[in-house]
Amino acid sequence: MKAEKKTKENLINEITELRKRISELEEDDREKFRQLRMFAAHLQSVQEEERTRIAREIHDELSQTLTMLQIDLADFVSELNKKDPKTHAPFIGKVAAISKAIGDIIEVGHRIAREMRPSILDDLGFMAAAEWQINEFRKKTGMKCEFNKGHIIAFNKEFTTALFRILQEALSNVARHAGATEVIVDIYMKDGSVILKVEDNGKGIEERKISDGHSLGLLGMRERVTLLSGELSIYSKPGEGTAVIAYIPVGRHAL
Amino acid sequence: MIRIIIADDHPLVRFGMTKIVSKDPDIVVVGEAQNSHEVMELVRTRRVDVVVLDISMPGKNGLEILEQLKHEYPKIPVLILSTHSEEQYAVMAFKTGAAGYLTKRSALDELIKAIRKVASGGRYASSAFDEYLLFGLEKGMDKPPHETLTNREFQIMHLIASGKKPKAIAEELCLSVKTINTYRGRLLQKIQVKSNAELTRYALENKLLE
Ligand SMILES: Nc1ncnc2c1ncn2[C@@H]1O[C@H](COP(=O)(O)OP(=O)(O)OP(=O)(O)O)[C@@H](O)[C@H]1O
Ligand SMILES: [Mg+2]
Repeated sequence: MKAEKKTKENLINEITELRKRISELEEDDREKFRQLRMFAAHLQSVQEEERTRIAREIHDELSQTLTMLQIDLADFVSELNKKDPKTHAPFIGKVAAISKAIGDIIEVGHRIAREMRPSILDDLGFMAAAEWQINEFRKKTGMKCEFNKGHIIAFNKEFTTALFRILQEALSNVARHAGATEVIVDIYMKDGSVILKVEDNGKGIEERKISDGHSLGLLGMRERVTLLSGELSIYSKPGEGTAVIAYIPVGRHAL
Repeated sequence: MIRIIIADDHPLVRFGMTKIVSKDPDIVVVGEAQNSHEVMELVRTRRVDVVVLDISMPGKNGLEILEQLKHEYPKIPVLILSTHSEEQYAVMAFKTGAAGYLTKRSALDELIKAIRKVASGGRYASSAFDEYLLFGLEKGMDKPPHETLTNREFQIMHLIASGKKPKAIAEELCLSVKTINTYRGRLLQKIQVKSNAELTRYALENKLLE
């Protein structure tokens, strides 16, 4: 009898012990998950910093130096012209061609820089950058794109970057997958949150793809929104288009 | 004579711009600046007709310097020089009070033209931009050239356009013929015409002779 009681007590103790252990492990997991998320966020911001730096280096240093080289060449041509234009004529043509090639390199540099991180985002803020991005989208896709700009405030870099990257991903998905003819972008503030909505009239996303963990674009958008304590909703029906809506409280990110 | 200062943090750029304007004997570089402090110091101490200002300088950026300049010296036209060809930058520059916006890439072909235009009270945007679109964004600020004329210039334009000879005008206004010709040169430039005939046509088209 006594021995039985003892075993029972032991068992209860053991179960309690196990329960405690499990919840410790769960806590551990949650903590690990939180750390992982923070780490991902950190990597993202480091990457963004790096992109900013490289883009600026290319855009400002490289392209300015090349531009000045073009000026030098023009100067050189006018020297040649002064001296003996006849004998120098073939060289002048050559120099003009070189100068044009330099111009093309500058153009490529600007493109690379813009693709890394458009300077307009840091210089003129989110709305100007959004407007520019939407214009690019129109030019590239030929799609009709309505842009409804509400009034927004100025945000810090973290917030600005997140919003801009979400807009870019949503637009790039429309361009690549939707087969749409029209897009409407709404950006405005309501009750201290920014609402960014990209709506297309394309073929829609299949239900399983919306929550599929393999889709890094959608996952990335969701991750950015979650890190800022916001919400991302995707409404879509096959054949009836897609709406991606990010709803993010500005909070401490206001400038 | 147009006295300009060139403000850019990049020595190579200042050198290049100076080289470009040296082709025009009417334009003199009276100073170079590499930060906002030097810009303000130069406009304080020298007579400056045009400030050629880089849009992105370290510390205070170009737009902030522009704002300060426009606040303290609203009469000096500022020509913004920029590596950015996005239209949003130009719109922002004009909103902040710039008289002109030129990309560095178009400086070689357009810097002299741009300096002359803003020096005479006009506005200039790189030919890569659609000026109409750019200026259409701020209605009312896009004045026709004759509205930039001073009263005296306007009066003289009127007399020339109605066919009077310089001598007659000089007598009528009690000025020397030489002075009349100086005025004539300046207003032809402001209106961007080359001859009296073109001036008359401009005046007729804009109904300035009634
Ligand atoms: N606006 C849309 N209209 C139709 N289908 C879409 C739309 N947006 C996304 N999809 C579908 O959802 C899938 C997942 O999108 P997601 O952005 O996650 O990945 P992706 O665009 O294929 O690749 P990436 O990682 O380069 O973004 C897409 O492959 C596409 O099939
Ligand atoms: Mg995608």
